[in-house]
Amino acid sequence: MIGTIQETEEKILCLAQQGDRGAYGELVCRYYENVIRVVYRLCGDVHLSQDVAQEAFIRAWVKLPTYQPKAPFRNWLYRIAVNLALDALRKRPEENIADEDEIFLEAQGMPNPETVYLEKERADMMQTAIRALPEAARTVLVLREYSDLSYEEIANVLDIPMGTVMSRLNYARNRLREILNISWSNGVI
Amino acid sequence: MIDQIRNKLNAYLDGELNERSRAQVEEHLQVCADCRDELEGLRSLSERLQAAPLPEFTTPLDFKNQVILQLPRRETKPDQDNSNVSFLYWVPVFILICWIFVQIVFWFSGETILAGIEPQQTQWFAIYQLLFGGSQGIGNLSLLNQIDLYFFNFILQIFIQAVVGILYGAVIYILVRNQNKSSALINGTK
Repeated sequence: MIGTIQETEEKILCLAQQGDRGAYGELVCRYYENVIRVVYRLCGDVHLSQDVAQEAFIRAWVKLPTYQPKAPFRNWLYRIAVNLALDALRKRPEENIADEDEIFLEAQGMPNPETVYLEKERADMMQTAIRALPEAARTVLVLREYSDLSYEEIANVLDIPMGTVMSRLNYARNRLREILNISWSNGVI
Repeated sequence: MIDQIRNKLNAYLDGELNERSRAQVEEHLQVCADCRDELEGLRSLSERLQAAPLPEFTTPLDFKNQVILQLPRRETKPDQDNSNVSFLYWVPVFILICWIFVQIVFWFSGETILAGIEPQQTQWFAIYQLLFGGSQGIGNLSLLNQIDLYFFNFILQIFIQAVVGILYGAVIYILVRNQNKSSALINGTK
């Protein structure tokens, strides 16, 4: 079954490489949620994340003829999206990142306004804590937690040694626990 | 020892340790309450990160439609076209080399490939024969006449080949220029 899915993806990729927009649309649908999740966790801004994700898919389309299937397409896409997200964050001052009040959480299963509010508070705090991490550590943490990549794949995506992935991940998790424990002790989470 | 194990806890949690290291960590966890707490803290953090709700984004279908609308046209692969063009450029050179080869072979064999369609004597030799007849010193002059004829024919053929080559090159140049123009229009680069 997995083999069939892979085979189908190879065919779609091949068509997209030859310029088939319909096939590429299929890939966009398939990987949009993975990409947006990672980009949002890096940026913390809905609109910026969607812009970055869009730019990532457009850039991937342009570069697709040069893509070589040594690594999975998904990882190649992550590399493009992560680089664009970090560039966008560097260009954009921190204060311009959207206030989390603009975010509307998925209300499914949360009909109670108080529950919605609490969930929102929790999500805000988590996102703020992630954004408080240094860029290098945050990138590794986000790729590990939200993309299901192995350490080796993260190392390939970011072009860093695997030892660096491990040390950054250790640092990121320890730092995040410190930040969240402070929030917790303040009764926010 | 405990520091070594603590450094491996993240990798243990993520399932990134090899069998030997995993067994080592598990053995240590059985006797060390601090490391168990540490591991529990890491696991709890990971769960909270995974459970953090996401905001509402554009649906995949809408997003796909937006992306498709903005996809630029791709340029055609230039390598393939260039290889065809360079092949065409080499054709006249190849023909010229073949012709020279054939001429040399015929020259050594005492034949001439163009016999019958070219003059058998030069103008000066014809005038000489007309004025002095065909008897005196004709042997040496006849040889000179043959050499002169041969070089005349050779240069004439080279000239013809060069003209054909130039014409051929001009046709290729016009074709390539038209092709580049049309592909530039398609790609919107002009």
